[in-house]
Amino acid sequence: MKQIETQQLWDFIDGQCTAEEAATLKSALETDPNVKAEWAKRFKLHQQLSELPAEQPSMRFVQNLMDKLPLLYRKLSIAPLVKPFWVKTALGFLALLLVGYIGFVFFYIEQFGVNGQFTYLESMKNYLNQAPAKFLILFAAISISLSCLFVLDRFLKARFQKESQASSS
Amino acid sequence: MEEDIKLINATLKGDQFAFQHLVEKYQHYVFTITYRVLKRREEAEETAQDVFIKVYKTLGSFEQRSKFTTWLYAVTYRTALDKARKKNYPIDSIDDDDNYLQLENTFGESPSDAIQQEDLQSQLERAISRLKPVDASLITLFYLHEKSIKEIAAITGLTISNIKTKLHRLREQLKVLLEEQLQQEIHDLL
Repeated sequence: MKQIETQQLWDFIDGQCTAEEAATLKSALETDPNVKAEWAKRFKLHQQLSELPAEQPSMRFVQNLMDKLPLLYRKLSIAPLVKPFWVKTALGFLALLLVGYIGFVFFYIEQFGVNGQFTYLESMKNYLNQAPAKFLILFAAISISLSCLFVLDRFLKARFQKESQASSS
Repeated sequence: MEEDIKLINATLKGDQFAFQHLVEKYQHYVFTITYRVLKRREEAEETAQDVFIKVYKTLGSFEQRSKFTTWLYAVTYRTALDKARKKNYPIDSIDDDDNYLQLENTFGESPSDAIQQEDLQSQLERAISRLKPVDASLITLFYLHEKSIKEIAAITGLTISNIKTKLHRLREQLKVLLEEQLQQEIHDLL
């Protein structure tokens, strides 16, 4: 058989030929025993190839792989959930608030606090005494939380780096 | 397909058991490809593990536009061929040299004598184990997970016509090698 004919037979077996080609081949299969024998050999080969079983890895394949993942997983989770841009923006905003707050305090004291009777420090104390307690507690809580988070972040980063260095070596 | 997407999303949320399910589901296919490319069990298993680790690390970059298996087998195909290149195994394909019949005749002086002693499937497995890596992976992708030629093109980066030609020549080559055995087994089809 010529190559073009074998290609047609494979296309027919793979279901890749047109309806017209399929009809021509079906008619040839019915009338020509040589074509049928050639088709049959290829079809048998096709069947056998389809029925070849998958290779089996070792029984511990999945377990071995999963054992490697915890460390890998921690490495992956280092990636920040929030993009650095937004972290910087938030920090910038907080810094701006703090500067604004301090500026406001100094402006307040300048305008209303220092009148010859009090020093700057005493004026500041007076101002803080006038500030609502809830506001001071909230401000302190935010400051302490941010500081703790910053320290925790540094600690965890250092630990992960140490572990990844240990695993790579 | 939907189950795969659920497992992928769960994995991305940190559920390692979901990833374990994915590994259990596809380990045989991935291992079969790596084994047929590399021909050695230990190397194939090591490479299959590398494939799943790569998949785990880059799962976030899977855009879910194609099937997960297409992406997984593309990673497998590239990783296995890279490994074969590193080990200096000959990876060129059936079209890359003039020798049309590349399969070594390892069946002795008279192939039919040896063939008759084993069943057709065993002979076929032996013949596939002697194919060059690219060719072995094409046959495996086409038959093992019934990938379409279009999907195989997406996995391997080869053109559709190139894949069709290679598959045609490879199967003709296998047919020639197993001619006598096939002849004996086609009576029910005639």
